[in-house]
Amino acid sequence: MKITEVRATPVSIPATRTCTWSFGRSYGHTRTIVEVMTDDGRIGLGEASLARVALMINDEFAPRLAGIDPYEISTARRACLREHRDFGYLADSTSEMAFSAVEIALWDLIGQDRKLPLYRVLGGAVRERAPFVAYAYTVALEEGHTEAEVPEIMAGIAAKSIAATGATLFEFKVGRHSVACDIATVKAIRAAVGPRIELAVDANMAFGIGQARQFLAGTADVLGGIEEPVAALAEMVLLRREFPVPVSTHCTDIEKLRGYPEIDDIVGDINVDGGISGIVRLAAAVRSYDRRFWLRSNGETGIGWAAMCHLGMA
Amino acid sequence: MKITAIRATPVSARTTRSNAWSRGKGTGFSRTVIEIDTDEGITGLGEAPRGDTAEVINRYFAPRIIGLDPGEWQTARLRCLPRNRDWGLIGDARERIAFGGIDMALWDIVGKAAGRPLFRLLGGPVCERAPFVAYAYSVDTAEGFTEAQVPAQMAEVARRSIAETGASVFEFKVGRNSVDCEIETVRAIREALGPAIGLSLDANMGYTIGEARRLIAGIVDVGILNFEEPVASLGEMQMLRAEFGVPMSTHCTNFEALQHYPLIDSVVADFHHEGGIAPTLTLAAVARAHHRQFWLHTYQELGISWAARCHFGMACPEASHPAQALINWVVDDLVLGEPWRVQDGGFRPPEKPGLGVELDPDGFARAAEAYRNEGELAYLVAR
Repeated sequence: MKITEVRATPVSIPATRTCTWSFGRSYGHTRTIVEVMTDDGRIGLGEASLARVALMINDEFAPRLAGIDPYEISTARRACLREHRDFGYLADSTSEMAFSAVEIALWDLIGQDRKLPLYRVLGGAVRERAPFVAYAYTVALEEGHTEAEVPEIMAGIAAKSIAATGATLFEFKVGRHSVACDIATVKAIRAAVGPRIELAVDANMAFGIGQARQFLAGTADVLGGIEEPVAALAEMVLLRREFPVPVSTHCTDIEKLRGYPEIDDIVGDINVDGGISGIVRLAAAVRSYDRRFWLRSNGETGIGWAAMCHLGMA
Repeated sequence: MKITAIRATPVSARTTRSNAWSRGKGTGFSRTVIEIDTDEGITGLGEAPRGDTAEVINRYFAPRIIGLDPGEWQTARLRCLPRNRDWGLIGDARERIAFGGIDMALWDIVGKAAGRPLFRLLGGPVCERAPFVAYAYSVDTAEGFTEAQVPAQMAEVARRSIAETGASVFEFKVGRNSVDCEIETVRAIREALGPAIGLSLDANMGYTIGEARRLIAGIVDVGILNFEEPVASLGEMQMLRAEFGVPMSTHCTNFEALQHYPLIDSVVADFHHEGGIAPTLTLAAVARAHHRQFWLHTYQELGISWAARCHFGMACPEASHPAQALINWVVDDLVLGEPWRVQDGGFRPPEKPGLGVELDPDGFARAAEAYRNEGELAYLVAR
């Protein structure tokens, strides 16, 4: 089996609700779908998390990938990323994200060729189903709501999401509204979902450390985790020492993280961290540094989502 | 595809010379050969250290994995090594090495079914050939040598090994003879090989820290690439590293423990011990994330494990340092055809599906009979 053609197509897809979070609002996501064609007539599917990689995949990667056996993921990686730029710190995160889409498509082809679902190719199931939280954006005041309504609306969303998904954890965006509103929202959600559902929040680095302290002082007794409360890893460490709430980051640079041992959890991204094989390695490295690991979601289509489900199984 | 049958057979093999090292010597060793059959007629080959490993596989593991798809190494592992015993510290090393042999056979099947050599299945080659050192045991003075003859003997072994293998590193056992003898031996080997060849020592924890200090002080000026397990304690290895600046390697793969010893440079792992090829690939990534070099340990294996080690070395990006190699110490590697000998500093497996080796039925039968007649040929025997 040899790669004959690679096609990358940027797509835009609407969201069911406005995606409102600390830094903005959006009504959908733009992604790049990758199709890798082989000489035996198969098409492998992959996905990247932004549009501008499409050009790179079509113009630069496709000719280098032609003729490579889809089983040879490291050969493909070196053909696309060139070894001297693929060491230590990330030299070019765009090319890494572009390759991740190809990498997912190669795993799809391997699974098709072996007639096995990807999670079985990756070694088989380690659990019944890939575990996910119920996750929600916050409320868009621009759509005619007041801050006073946010806690109750979010409590309704939380109860509905937990009922719909059976998840044991509800995670949602904070840092959009006033700190007082965020605190009231956490309390309202806790009241709505009861004590057995874990609550986690994601501020996407929007708080100043003062705001983060104020928020955590009001919610630490009911929160199970906070993601990126502030932009600085060092400030995350300060918060972690002051409050008993585990802190998570999207920083996956192990060299850097060694300096911040108090940060509990690492939330990796298939598209940022080297595709499926990159995530498998990263997860092992993260565990060896006594951190928990899980995957980030980034508005993916069914292709990226399928990859996340298979990874979560294996 | 489903696993239909598993046969684990203990075998005994002979070495070309007496293999003398700090803790023992012998002229043979026992291994377990594993054959896994499938409903599609493909049989996979695996190998595990020790002969008594066969019993673990035949009695306990085989019934648990019959019916599984051979690609599901992780599912097979969970069934054989229940998670409560496969977490943190090693629960039962013998079960782990037993599963390592099964894992190898599963990869052989997957490679055969996919029509690809294992190194291509593991992502493709990251180097021209899997890099190996030239490796030697020490001289057994019981074979009629005096200690005074050891330095010249070992210098000759070193010169010949490097000439035969084209390796860039000569690694050998120390801790067998007196410290003065070992100092003379290292110096004689450096003299024989010249300055361009790396010298690595392996004491298998045979020294006290006082002896190790004396040895290193006597050889540090000739340039030592690496010293493996000079002493039994990680803390003492760290002290030696700080005092002499000679890089140190360990077989400890427990990173919880290792994080307290940041000066220990390298981790030398064994996929038999780690219970499989995929976990060892991730272990290599973990080792690099902890700023350690990584390479593969040898156990004195037969042709099946050796093939797996060659494929691993081809495909593991972190394993750029040459791995240990003892295949040329084996009289019969039990696989058909010419042995895969290290040349130009490494070996590149042929483009055959899976591991790319087949059992030699006559050699296999003889080795199985040797085990039945003589029992376990322990790797660890009295000094």
